[in-house]
Amino acid sequence: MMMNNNHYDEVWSDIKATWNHSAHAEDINLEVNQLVAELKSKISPFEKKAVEDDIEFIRNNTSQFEKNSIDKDLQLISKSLKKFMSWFKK
Amino acid sequence: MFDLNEEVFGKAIVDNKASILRICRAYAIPPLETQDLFQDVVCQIWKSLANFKGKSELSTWIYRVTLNVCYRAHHTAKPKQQRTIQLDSILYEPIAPESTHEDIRYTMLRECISVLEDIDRSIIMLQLEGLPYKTIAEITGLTANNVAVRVKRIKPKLLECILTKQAKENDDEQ
Repeated sequence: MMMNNNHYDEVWSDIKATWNHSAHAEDINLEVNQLVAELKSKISPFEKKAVEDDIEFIRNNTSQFEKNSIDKDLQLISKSLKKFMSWFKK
Repeated sequence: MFDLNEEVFGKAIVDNKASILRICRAYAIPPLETQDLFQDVVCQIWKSLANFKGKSELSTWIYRVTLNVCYRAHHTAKPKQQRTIQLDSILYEPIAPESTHEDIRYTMLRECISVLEDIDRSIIMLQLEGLPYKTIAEITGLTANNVAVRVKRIKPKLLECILTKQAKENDDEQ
């Protein structure tokens, strides 16, 4: 389906408006004092630490995936270049 | 009486409530529900705020936590009965959409986002949030260039999906 740029921009603006408006579909009421008191009573320090470790793990692995992926690509490019250079020298 | 962390926590939740809600709602395809995801995000922020080192803006960090929580919930959907924590101090009230048309448009958008790969889904949601590529890169662990390339690829895909659904909707109405 071909779209010209103006139509593309229009549709994208509509999408953004729909997205922005989606927060109004629900009303969330919270009283911070009450929320903090409830969290303090329901979440133990042990669990806090365990989840901190989880977050650190996820954060590190997300970046590591990208690093590994780029490393592999670079090795492939380097190999191909060497092959090409050796063929070129013949 | 609040200590500093509790004050920061309270302000963080209030200031970022709408963003958290938008992302949770986008992930809330049954059996997941918006209010459960929102609650999980709040709990996670509470548990890990002490871990926030201030290397980025607090709102950036909150986006990352929200996406990680929603991503995990999406991949390991737990039945409601197995949830370990229920927060009674967060009250939800669904509001009737301004129009059925608006509701349908949102459903189409959510469906089209849901078929994207995980990383692309995160990127496009953050793009819809109006975040610059640099911030999206911080949140996702990609480079800003990589984000830019992906956005160029994802946007037409998303638009195509939505226009196809809209065309089908119009045909069904006739």
